[in-house]
Amino acid sequence: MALWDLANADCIITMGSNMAENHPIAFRFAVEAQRRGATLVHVDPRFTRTGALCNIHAPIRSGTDIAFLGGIIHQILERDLWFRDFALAYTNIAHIIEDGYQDPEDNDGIFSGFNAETKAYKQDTWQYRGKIVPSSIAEHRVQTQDKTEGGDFESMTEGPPPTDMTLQHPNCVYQIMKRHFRRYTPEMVERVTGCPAGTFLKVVEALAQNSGRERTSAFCYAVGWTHHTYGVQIIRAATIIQGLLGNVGRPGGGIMALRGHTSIQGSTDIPTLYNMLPTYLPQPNVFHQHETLESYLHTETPTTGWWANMPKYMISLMKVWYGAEARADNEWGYQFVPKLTGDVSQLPMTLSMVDGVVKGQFILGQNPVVGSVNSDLVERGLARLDWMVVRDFAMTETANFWQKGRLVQRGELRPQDIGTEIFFLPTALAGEKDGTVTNTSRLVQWHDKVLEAPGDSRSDLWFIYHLGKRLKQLYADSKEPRDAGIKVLTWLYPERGERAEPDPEAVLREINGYTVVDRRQVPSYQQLKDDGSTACGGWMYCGIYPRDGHNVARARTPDVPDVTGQNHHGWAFAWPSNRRTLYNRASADPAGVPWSERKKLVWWDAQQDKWTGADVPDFIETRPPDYRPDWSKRPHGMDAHGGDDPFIMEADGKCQLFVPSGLKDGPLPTYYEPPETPVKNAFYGQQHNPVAKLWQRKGNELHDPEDPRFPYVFTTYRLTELHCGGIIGRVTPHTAELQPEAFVEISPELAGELGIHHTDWAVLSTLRGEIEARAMVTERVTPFKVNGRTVHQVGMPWVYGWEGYARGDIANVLLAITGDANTSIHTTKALTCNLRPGRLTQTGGTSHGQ
Amino acid sequence: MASDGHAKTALDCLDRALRDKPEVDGHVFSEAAMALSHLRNELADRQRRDGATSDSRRQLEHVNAVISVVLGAHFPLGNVPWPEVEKARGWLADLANAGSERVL
Repeated sequence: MALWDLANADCIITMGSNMAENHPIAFRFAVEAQRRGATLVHVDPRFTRTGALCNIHAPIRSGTDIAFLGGIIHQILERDLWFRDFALAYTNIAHIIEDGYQDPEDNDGIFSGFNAETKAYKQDTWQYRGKIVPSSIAEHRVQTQDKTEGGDFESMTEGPPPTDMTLQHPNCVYQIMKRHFRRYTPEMVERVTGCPAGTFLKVVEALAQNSGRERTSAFCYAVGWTHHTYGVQIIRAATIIQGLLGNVGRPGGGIMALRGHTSIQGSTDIPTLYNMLPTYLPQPNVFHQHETLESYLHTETPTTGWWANMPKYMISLMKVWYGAEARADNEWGYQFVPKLTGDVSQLPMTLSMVDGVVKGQFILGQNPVVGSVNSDLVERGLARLDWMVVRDFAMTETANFWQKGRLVQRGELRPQDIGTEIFFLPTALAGEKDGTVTNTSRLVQWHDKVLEAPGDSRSDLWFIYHLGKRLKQLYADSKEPRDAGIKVLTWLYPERGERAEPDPEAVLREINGYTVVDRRQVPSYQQLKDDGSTACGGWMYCGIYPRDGHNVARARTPDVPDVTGQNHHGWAFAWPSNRRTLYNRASADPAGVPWSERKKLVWWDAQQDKWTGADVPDFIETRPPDYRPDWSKRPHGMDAHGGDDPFIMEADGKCQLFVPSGLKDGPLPTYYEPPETPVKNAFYGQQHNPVAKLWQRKGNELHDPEDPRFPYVFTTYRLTELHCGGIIGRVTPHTAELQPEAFVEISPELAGELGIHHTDWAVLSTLRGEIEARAMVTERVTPFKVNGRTVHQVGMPWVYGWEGYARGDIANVLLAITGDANTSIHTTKALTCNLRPGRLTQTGGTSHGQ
Repeated sequence: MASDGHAKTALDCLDRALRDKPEVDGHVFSEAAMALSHLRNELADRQRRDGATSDSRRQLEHVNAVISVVLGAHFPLGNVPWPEVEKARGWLADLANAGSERVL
């Protein structure tokens, strides 16, 4: 959904985000919704300024989100609060799952298909009966297949998945969900999360009363949801709620992923991620059936739905990269594309640095000594590199760890023994370069350079471009097959000025794509081809530069005030197709009529025989609502979707309440405790996510559940004043003085127990390390009653370090390297620690056996 | 010779891994990666010092390939690729055997 569409919501639940402080621009639309009568809810461990501005604040213990959301699902199902016409028509609630499916309710916390030896699931019992369903998420498809399984999704072309529209079949999704969530009662929610049942039920009422034909509700989240070993499943739980309540594809409805202030969304779209090619195409993998382009496309291309177009996007991408060297007779250059062998995301990379595998690193737009978990281990890894290039606009802890780092300060490392050669290169800031920012709402906004960067500062684009030029020069005479990709890579961008700055608009034009024969811009992704006639650097961005001289990301025409139905289409570009609300076909009923006048968005215009409305329809424009696939012809692609199947990226066009393929940790969200917790799992014998990525080793030990040495829940967060990884705000006097030093937030109750007073020093410790900070004794933090006992929680901003005017110990010293089962994202929101009054000793040693 | 020792350590680790088939995050893979990295570094140093030969290039390529497989097993995307680990173990054994006569 679009950010400003929040203003159209009748209820907004912010959870996993301190939205008012960390996304203040976005929160103004929530405030606008409230002004129009909406109910705002904040579900959060702390009573922050977000909670203060909301109508309801529901406190929960960090990491218990699935218990809370599962409780909402339980209420919706048991009290028949769901939007029946919507969910029956548009979700897989009636689909029948394989007979062999077993639920965690049957197996004490484990789904069927679990292999205890490999700690991995096979997903065959999660499928629609008689089908093999491809995941719509390429990343998940690749991760969950092994070489022997392949991607034969032809069963999806044989007919629609079996359903029971009466919802009586014991293995239909509705009945499975009823059994799965039956124990998520308000009492259980209170017992696990610590949120009073009465408060929880108020949230349920607010949500239910503001959902349906006439009303819509939205969820907003940030990394408070993602930074867990089950982060994907938290978001899945919200998806189920919104699917059941009909809050998808409609004005004011949806799940808002509040993205980082820089170009975080952009860095997944045109990715800096290791496992995806631009705009969500899977990176080939040596251990999968990816030996040839044909086998890669066969394995990875869903047979039905929009993703059946994947070959067009992949071949057009290789045409951009390899130009004339991408030919039909060489698989369009497929063998030039590097292949993965395993997970090389940041956490494994850090561990591999410590093991001596990694020889060098480029650090751009990141400060991992402060921002990555287990900071001491990160330092140990950096100390084993041969070289490191750090590009930033001011000195960072990562660049000078060899001199001022914790390990050097403690005498564990000596600068003269660290062999890492470090190159610190100054960068241009946003106002000193042209380019785009893509963040919340998939909105790509162009910004212009307003002044020259000082001294030797250069843009990141300048650096990457000139590095590429030099690499091509270096490998120009190589005869090694492995170097061929660099040799043939097209790398011709116009240079400007004395600094030879590459033209960023030329890059954007290339991302948009062009026809090869005449190099004319391709106006839309629907025109991309798989025959080598088109080239496109990112299919979802196609349309951002639809013709020469027309940079849509630069558009700045605001809507006229107080006129409805405009959707800000004149402001920047939202992928794909400048569409503001994904799956907006769902804003109309199966017959194509808006669910209500108040919530209309797109609809079928029978007179013009096309979809129309206030947004770019997310559907085949001329497909009538009564179109039905002709199954006798084994339809593929969009021919297999009906005119009433809004979820075009899914194989059967339905919103997946139950996910048959693609998730490593189960088809439904289920409650597990975080890897470190002061309590046992009240739901199951299975304590934590059985397929979570836990890399226990020396220096990265985990605390056992209920470890009395570490009795407190610990969480981390950002501050408004210290932007991003902190360095920007810490070196700027005006913001540094607003948050001058690190602090730990402690409830008055815990402070009283420990004899800590406001502004006293306190020491926090885990098996990974110890730090000290000033105590902020505040009622923003309150103890929880969990399973009959009191659980205290403390929290600390993670944005401090030893550089700048505002300094303090690095909170991430305390954290362990653990990863979400699906994404490998680290856990920063729920772990355990100890706390004591006083300061670290001068030697700073840890007391727990490091 | 030091390289011999690293190759042997890595082989031992891979044998243990193949025998025990540890759950994800087997520390044995970490040990193997460390030994293989030492081996790679020594081969690279020697090549820089003495000049590259087709033998030395091949050895370095094979060690790098084994490292890639070991990392894929240590940090798997999906299931641990045991057949490939077995294959990589074979490459390393061939290298070590050849190396005992020549470079390693």
